[in-house]
Amino acid sequence: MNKNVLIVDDSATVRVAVKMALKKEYEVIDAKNGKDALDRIEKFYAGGNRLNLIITDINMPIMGGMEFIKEVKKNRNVKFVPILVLTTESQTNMKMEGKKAGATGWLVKPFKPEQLLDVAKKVIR
Amino acid sequence: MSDIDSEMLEVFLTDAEEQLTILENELLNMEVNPDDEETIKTIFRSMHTLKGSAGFVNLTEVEGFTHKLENLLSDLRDKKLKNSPEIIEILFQSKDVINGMINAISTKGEPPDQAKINEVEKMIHDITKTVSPGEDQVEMDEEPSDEDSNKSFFRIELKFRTDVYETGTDPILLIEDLSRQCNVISTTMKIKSVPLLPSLKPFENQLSWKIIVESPKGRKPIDDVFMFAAIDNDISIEMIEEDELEVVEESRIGELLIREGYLDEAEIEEVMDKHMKIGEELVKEGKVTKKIVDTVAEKQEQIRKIQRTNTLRIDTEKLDRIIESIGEVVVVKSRIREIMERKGWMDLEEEATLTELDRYINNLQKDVMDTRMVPIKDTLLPFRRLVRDVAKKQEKEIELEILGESTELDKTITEKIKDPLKHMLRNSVDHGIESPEEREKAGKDPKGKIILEASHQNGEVLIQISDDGKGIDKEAVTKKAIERGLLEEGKVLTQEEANKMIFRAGFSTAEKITDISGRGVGMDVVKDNINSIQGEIDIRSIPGEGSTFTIHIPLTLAIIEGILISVANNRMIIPIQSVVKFLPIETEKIHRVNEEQTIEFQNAYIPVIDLSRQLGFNDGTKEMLIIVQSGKSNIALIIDEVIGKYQIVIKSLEENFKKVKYCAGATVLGDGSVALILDAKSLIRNYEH
Repeated sequence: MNKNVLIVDDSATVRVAVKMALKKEYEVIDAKNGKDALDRIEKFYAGGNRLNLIITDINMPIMGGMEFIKEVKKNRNVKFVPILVLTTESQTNMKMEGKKAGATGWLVKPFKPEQLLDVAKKVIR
Repeated sequence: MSDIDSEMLEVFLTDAEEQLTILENELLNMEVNPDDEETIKTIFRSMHTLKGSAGFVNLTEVEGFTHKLENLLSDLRDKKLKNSPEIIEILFQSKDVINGMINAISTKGEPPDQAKINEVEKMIHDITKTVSPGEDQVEMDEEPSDEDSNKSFFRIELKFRTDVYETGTDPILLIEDLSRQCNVISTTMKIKSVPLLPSLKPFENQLSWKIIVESPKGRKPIDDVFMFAAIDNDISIEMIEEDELEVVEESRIGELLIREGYLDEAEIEEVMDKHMKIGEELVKEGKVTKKIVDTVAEKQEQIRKIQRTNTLRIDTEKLDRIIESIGEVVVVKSRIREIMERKGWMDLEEEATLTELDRYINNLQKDVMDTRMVPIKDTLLPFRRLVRDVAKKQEKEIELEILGESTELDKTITEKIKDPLKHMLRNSVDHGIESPEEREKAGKDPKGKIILEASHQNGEVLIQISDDGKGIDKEAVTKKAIERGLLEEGKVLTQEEANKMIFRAGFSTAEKITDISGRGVGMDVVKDNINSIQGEIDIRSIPGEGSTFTIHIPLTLAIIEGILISVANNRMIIPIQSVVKFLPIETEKIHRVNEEQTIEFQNAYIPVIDLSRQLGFNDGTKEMLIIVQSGKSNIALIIDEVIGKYQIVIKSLEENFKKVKYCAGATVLGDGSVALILDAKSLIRNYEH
């Protein structure tokens, strides 16, 4: 049974890194920012698919991670999907902010593929 | 380097290039509005993204450098530091350093000089030091103490928020994870707060747990399991002594029943297993029928089939080949139609099938064309830096405004207009915009303005470069033209003629070779370049107020629509965008002035040209007039017959033959014969000269 992960990050490098880390176990789709991600989610669900995990960056153009998480929490389809926030070491306060907004957990960039897979397994149903 | 690494690196390079372009544009914006918060935020974000991406490909040099910059930028963002031209200069230089580091990786260039890096780093350091001395080190997570790292027992109490599911946390998942990390001795679930079914809210959690575990590696693995949940849920992890265990164990009913000898383990497991299967349980409880559970399970399977809509990078050469093939298919299709028509009749089924084929081919063609369309943005944005640099060197103040950057056109065309546009902008800065003193004297804003605007119009792309400079000085142009031997002594050019003169070969108003325009490319080269992509260039200039250059270029070059005509038994194609109108020849309407013939068209007299004579053919039947247009000029061509509208793929003649006058190339028609494509533009140009 396929499990689907959405990675939202404005850096193509991060998106590819996430895809590579997870591709053995999960199907990964991507989006460049919060707004793009919401469109992606809508289409994905319209196609009869479901997401099992959302990974999102915080600092992105057009719609940043915090606003995106708040939108996800308002969306019936994905309200309960676990969310991992990508932070950097210098943004420790983002972990709390992310949790407050409704994220499930976080991951510190740059991460090793195994780390990501471990964390993903922790939160994917 | 492994495949994954090199693939990642490639992605990183594209990514970095994108971020650097953003960075540069925003820095240019910052120069105009140093305190604009959005600009600072965008720059910060772009630096942050760059840093993050560099970390993934192990480019510690780039990562370290961008990290230092990030500090500077966050100080700016948090207003701990006031922006200044000095800081902007540091940022520009830093951008160049990063650019150098990245180019060195992609082997596009020499790595930046270490001394230069150190110098810029020092500047960054000195500036940031004034705000937050010693804030270089990053905050680290507190490492949990290692006091209980040995095998020990823990009592874990889990009280989750009622809306825990909305945070994506699943208590069961955590408990399962815990059971993998430790040896679970007992689990007690409190269900007291669970309401009766009618008032039960399925999306809310009312459960809490008490779990006793034995952890072989101490507290750390347990902390890890709950690292996310512990932040906003009431989770307590407490080390207990071995002798506290028994009491707890006895509270577990199953264990108690076994110990008391009422049941054995197998019997308990059997019951537990049943509880796991929710579907069966529900059927048994009479909540749903088995059939429903089965159909839902089936649906669940189907839902998992996912749709892939990822993007893919394709070599444009491959696309070109596809387009060429589609072009061939178009030709063969026309050929089939011709063969069938030659038969004299077509039945309904044949006609319908061909029409259907037409439709699919059109869609296919449109879809492939779409893939080649790219926004003009990437071509236009780098010009901001160019204008800035050229202006700075000449001590002029110039603002470049770019409009319509999302206008899409064929990728190959964007590549071809880059150079002409670059030269035109340089010319505008060099010759169009005056020095601040001159401008002030003329009562203008000392800061000049150039607007670069792209738009779509009538199936073409329109690019305009307007400046508010001194415009084309017809006296100066007249003088120069006489000097260059392009004009007879004593003649005076009108404004219109002066405007056209600057495009003539051999005319260049460049007084001296500046270090920016280098060899000083003349506008004639620009015009040739634009003509070579079926484009047109026009100029409008008002002395003292400025000039506007307008370029019309086709959306694509791959497939064009044309009108097939016949001239003295030769068949030729005229590209449809050149064709204005067909008229039957009415000799009385054609006027003869000296040796030339003219006809009135749209309130103007336009020249009439006998195409067969012009091309050196024999005389034909001469029954039709076709009016063609190039830029603002129209001419009427005498031809024999208009055959119809065709879609054609242009084949260049020059690959195999030498250039034929007035021909833009050739194409293969439906019947397999070859037709030349008439280059109306060169005909008109020739006539005007």
